[in-house]
Amino acid sequence: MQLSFVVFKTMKKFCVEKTLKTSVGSTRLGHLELPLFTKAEEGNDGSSNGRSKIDYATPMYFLHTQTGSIPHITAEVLKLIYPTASDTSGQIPPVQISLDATAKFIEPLSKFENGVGKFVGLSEHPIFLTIHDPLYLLRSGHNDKFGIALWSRHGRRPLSPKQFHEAVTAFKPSISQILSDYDVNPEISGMKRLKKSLERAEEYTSYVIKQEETTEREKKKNTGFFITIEASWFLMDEGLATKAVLRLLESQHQIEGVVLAGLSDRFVKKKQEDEVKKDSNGKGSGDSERMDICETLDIELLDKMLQNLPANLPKYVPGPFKLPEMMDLVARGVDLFDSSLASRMADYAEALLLDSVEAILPSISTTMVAMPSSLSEGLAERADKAERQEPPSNSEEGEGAVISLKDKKYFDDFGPLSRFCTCYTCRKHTRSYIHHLYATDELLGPVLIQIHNLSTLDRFFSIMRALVKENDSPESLLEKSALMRNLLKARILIKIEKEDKVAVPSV
Amino acid sequence: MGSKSALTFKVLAECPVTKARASLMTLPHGAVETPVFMPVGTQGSLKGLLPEQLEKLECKLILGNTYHLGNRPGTDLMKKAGGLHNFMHWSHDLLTDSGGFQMVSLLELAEITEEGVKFKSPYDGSECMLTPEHSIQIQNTIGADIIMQLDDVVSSTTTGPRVKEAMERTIRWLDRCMAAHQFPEKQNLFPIVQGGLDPELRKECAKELIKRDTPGFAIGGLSGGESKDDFWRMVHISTDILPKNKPRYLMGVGFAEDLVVCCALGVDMYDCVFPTRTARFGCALTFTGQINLKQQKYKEDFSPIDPECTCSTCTNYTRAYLQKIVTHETVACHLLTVHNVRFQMRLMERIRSNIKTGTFVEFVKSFMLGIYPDKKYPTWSKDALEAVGITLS
Ligand SMILES: [Zn+2]
Ligand SMILES: [Zn+2]
Repeated sequence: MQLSFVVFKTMKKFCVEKTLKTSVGSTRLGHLELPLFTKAEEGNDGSSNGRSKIDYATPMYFLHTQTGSIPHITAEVLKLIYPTASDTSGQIPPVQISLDATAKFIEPLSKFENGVGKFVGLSEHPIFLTIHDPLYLLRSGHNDKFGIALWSRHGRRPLSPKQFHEAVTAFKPSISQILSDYDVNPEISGMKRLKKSLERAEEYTSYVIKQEETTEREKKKNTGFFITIEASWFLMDEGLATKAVLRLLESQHQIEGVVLAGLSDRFVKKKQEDEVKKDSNGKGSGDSERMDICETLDIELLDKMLQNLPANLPKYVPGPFKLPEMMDLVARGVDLFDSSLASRMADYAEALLLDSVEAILPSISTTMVAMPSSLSEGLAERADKAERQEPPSNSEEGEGAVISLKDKKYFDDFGPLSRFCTCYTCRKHTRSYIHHLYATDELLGPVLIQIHNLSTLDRFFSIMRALVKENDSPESLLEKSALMRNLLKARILIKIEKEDKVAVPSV
Repeated sequence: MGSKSALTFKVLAECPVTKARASLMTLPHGAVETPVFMPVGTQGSLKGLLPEQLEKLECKLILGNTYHLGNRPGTDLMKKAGGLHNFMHWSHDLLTDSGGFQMVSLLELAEITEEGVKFKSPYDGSECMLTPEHSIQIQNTIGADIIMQLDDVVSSTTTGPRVKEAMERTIRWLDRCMAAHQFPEKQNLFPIVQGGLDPELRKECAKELIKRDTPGFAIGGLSGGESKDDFWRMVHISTDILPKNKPRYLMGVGFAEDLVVCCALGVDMYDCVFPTRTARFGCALTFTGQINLKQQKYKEDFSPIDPECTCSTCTNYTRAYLQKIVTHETVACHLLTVHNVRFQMRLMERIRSNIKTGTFVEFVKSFMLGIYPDKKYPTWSKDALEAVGITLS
């Protein structure tokens, strides 16, 4: 089925710069322009809230936050990771904020008037308001005709389309995901439930768009909306799901992107849920609610979801996917991701290494991927260090794309996390020190790992963009991700033998 | 012996009324202006802050705990890493305690003998002994700019012959520490004035320590549950005796009011876990007292913690947002730690600059009024300040 798509009055602009199309999929490079909300300066007439625009190269990632903050990273430290736009590998990422843990901001934000970005100390970043934290699992049984259930540390909280509209008005995000009745599970739900969910998708979307049109006229706001399409719809009935998605897109010209939800397993596992029920009043506890790193990706399902989506809409897949999985998604034309992988790895004391990955990406040199201009400084400092302390080479063996700093072998390893990384952490701190920080539950451990992992993720996305720019075909990308996956597997075998139980440091 | 020292201490200005002085203390890793507050970075890091963040807060001297560092990562690794400065990538000054206090307060079964502190290892239950020699050996490996003697610590509320015994033993242990100290040319060993709450014992101890001609002196065994009235008198007695040309370090003190009063009594250095520890419970320090950001009243308060504070927290964040995240996001802990350390630094800056401009007395009065707008000053601070010529009215 083909779709004619008319861009009406879209404020945000996504344009596809280049597409490499084969039977596997369409890998693409694009540009997403996001407005940055700034409150009118004094002296201006009160109605004109300013919006400067920032241009982003895609594929890219949003910075994952919890309760509005990037885990372990304050605004001050964030500047050390991304010093200035021209100084990094190209761009300072926008920020993803989920409504589940920030619904309680609606009230203060409706009075604050400066938007959620300023409120959480990240006013220089455009905000993408999503519904769920990609690291928080959902539970079944609480979506009804009034709205959906949000799950967070505080337990369950209902969200009606009206409340969602109020949230968008108060948060003033650059873009927002529209709420969705996610509670469809092929193992439990019947066709009636599926149809209900699809109906609600239309209801919610048209309600939100209509409300926004009214408000837009009054306040000259311009939040762009992403519709949500659920993986479970396609698992249950591809035909019905496709029709519903097309109806969603046809009727709403204001739609500026698509969230492909449910590819990471978002639901509390049946067994876990029973445990949660047993020990509490429904609030649940601890780790049973935490999403783990996604090791697998249902490619067939993804292809079904992507099949009928128009090319001119950016596509976001939320969740903590590993690097090879992210590359697979890029190969198939997914444009947007989030850094929830880095957040989760900080809990586990795991550092991403591209050292061996870069070896299988031969065409990528430092000339193609802009390195920070602080590189020279970093390397000088590194050389200076190397003269003083030769890093022991024994722990370099068998390293895949991930190392766990809880591993005792790093106790006296005075080398940086990665020999080729020039991030703040790798310029200043050693594996030994970071191992010590985790061993003593010091808060600085996750900070240093997060700095390195976000820097590494940033570099990984630069590499992926450079690969597509150099006409790397989707097949070739998939070959590379397969190689990376094998490196990871080798690493996992070593991990199973050695690793202690992981404890998450607490405040 | 005493001529070997890695410290110079230059008094820049003295308050004409009180015993307060502003000085420049130069240590192997840089000069520090006193009076100075030292935040505590127990295990080789300061509550999640990067060394660079501490520098920006103008914090140039921090404390590490010998007991903790001796256990983890241990002296072997510390030696391999080339000392704590290298290990934690900190280029400014460090001070380590002796480990004795931690041992006595953390380990129930610690027993003090003439040889040292005997304790059961919390790791394998085996019997261990921390002697004065051993403490200095660990501190030599850690490599801090100022190191502390092992002292015989008794609770500040202990009375009777045990206090005298502890005081005398502290002096004997100082001699052993000095003999064991390997690097007097790059690490400064400070003795500790003990003597409980007995003025005579305090005087005797101070006089005896002075004979050793060490680079500076600490006042110990206070801030442990004694009355504030006893507390300030012991500080007052000690600073009366200790030489003017050397720094005086009051251990374990860090509340704003205590700092201001003790500066008036002539103390130059302080340390305390309070400003960083309280951050994790959502408590922020200001010149008009502490505020707890957990409170509902900050829900829609869009002002920073302190509009006059230039720390990165007050520049970027509102009380309303902090109210939403304190006590459960680690970021909140970092944000309040940044602010609270900056507060301590600002307080000390104000104290120093007022001493230098000769306005310290006025500063003390306005500071006290700031935290007690109803002028209901605590008796102890009134008495202490009165003793050095400041009358609060
Ligand atoms: Zn790095
Ligand atoms: Zn501040």
